[in-house]
Amino acid sequence: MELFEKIKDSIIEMDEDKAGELVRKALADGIPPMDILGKGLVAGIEIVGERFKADELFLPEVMASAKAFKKGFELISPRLKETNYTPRARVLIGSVEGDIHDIGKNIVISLLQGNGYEVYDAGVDVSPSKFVELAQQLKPNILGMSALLTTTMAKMQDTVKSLEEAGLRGSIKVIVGGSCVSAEFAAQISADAYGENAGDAVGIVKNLTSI
Amino acid sequence: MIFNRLDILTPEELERIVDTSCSMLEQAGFRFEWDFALNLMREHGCKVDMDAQMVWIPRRLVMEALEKMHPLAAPQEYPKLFWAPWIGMKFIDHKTQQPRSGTLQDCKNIINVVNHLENVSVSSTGVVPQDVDNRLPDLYMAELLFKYSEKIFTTWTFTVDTCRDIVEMALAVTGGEKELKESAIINYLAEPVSPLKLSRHSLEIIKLYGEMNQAINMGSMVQVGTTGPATLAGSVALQLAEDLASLAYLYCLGSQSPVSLGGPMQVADLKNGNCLYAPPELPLIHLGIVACAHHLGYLSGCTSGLTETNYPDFQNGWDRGMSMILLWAAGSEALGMRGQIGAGQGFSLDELALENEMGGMMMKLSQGISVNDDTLALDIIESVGIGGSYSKLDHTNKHFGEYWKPELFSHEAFEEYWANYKHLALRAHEKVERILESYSLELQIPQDVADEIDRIRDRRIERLKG
Repeated sequence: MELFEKIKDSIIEMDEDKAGELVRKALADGIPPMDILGKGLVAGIEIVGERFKADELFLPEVMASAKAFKKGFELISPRLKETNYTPRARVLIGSVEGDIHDIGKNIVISLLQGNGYEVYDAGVDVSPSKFVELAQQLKPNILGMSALLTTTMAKMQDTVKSLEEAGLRGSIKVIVGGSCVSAEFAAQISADAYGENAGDAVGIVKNLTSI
Repeated sequence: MIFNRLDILTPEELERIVDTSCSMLEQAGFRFEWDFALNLMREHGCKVDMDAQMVWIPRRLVMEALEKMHPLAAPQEYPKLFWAPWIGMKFIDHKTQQPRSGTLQDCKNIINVVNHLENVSVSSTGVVPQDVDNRLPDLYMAELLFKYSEKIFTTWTFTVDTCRDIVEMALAVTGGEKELKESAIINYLAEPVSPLKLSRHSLEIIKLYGEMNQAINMGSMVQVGTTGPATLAGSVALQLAEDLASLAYLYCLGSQSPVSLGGPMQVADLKNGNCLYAPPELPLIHLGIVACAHHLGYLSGCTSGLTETNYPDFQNGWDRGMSMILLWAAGSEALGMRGQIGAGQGFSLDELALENEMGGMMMKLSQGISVNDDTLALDIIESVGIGGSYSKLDHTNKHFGEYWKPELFSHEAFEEYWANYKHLALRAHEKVERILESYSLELQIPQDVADEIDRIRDRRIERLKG
């Protein structure tokens, strides 16, 4: 349908206003929200993802597309709840206790939201107990932790242990990232994945959740 | 002498940047995540919102701080080329050439090699050791530098507790508070979290070092495109604003610390959010911040001579040379950070040895051309006359020793080069091996002071166990 193509193009063209306008029209025309999502919004963001992976697009372009996606998604979201729609994985993410750096985390959030993942931003300086409290409340599929200081890396391990003690570790995949973190460290603390840079986030979450 | 011939910004443009930085501090404000600091700034006339942890700093206070604080000592107290090793998480094992986590032994080896590289003027441990408690690697790093560095050094301070310990170590080395305050033996890179935030631990550490009058390098790390605007002027202005906020705070503390303005600005790789280490934008922003510092009457440091490559190839040389020469020509007093490879993927001793070679050339450039009767050599030129030779003269014999001579770089003829071919990387590697085999670390401080340093370190370890 032409309207789906136009919605898809609005995502690829990073046009937030156009995405909103077209999704409103589609809803007004009675098009099922699941079709708007799958054939329009997701179709567009997947092409963006492929182009990003092929080094044809840069982060600011991907994030602009993600904003357009988010605009459209927010418009259909109330209608999706009326259906049996299950969102893509739910991700809880934060910078660990003692760390107030957040730029990498914020890029990851934008990328994940822009790919239809449900993301809860725990903020910065998040203690292990706070992560556990939020995990109990939100029941995420993924916990992402960021640390930029060597002295805060240990909090990642503390958080993993806290998840184990709370009986949550089995149901939550843990991804760690940040400039002082390494694949080696991630393995050491039994994290499920390590993100070398923010751009890796969507691929890693997809692999871990198969969603 | 240090040259200052390269100005990429006019005085009017510099004033505009300074004005923009001050406007940021007055209008956007700054987050200080410590009530003590907020109250201090309020006492000095700043508008403060305690709940939001925000302070708005009037330009009057910034100008007062600039006027009354002390610029970092001039070249007579620091080497002409402040040239310190980079510090990172990974070490490129010089035997296997593979990256791995840095260790305490790597730190010792790096200090040992730096002690014997004639053109590396400042020492550091090169890596953050990962085989120690990761709550206090900075304490181990400082311990090794106090004990074994034959040169002035730069280290990192990660926490308030280890800062107190490092200051205590410095007191032991210098002999007391009066001596420490006069020595500036340790220094701190005051690094806000861009944009426009100073964490509590940074504010506390600035206070601790400031109380002891230790050198503080105002060194924000704005990353163009992610934590700073994508436009270079905007990011330079933001960097300067963050430096000035730290300076204003230090001034309000009543500190006599000597300071420099500048910092390791970066450019984001907008493919993945990582830092780029050698795009042409990087020397441009450093030229900008150095120019701002000099315009305000302060010495400046920058990161230059970095590389994206993982091997000493053509790009490696170009990456390093391009930015190094530009920043040198602009008169940057400090040209850090040496020995890194692969856009900060690791510290390499072999690279450091190669950069030592570069350093020799840079030192030579820094000497400039000496103009006097002897060097103008009019009497020599007249005596040699038309079509004569200078090569056998006493004057030549007297002065040729001043020329830079290569140790690692090639000057061979074509046939000789290929007959005796040895890649530059291998020559550098052999130099590193020679140093490590020939020299051991020797204690640079009295044994009782070394014992006191050990006691301070062990006390912290015990406290962490508790």
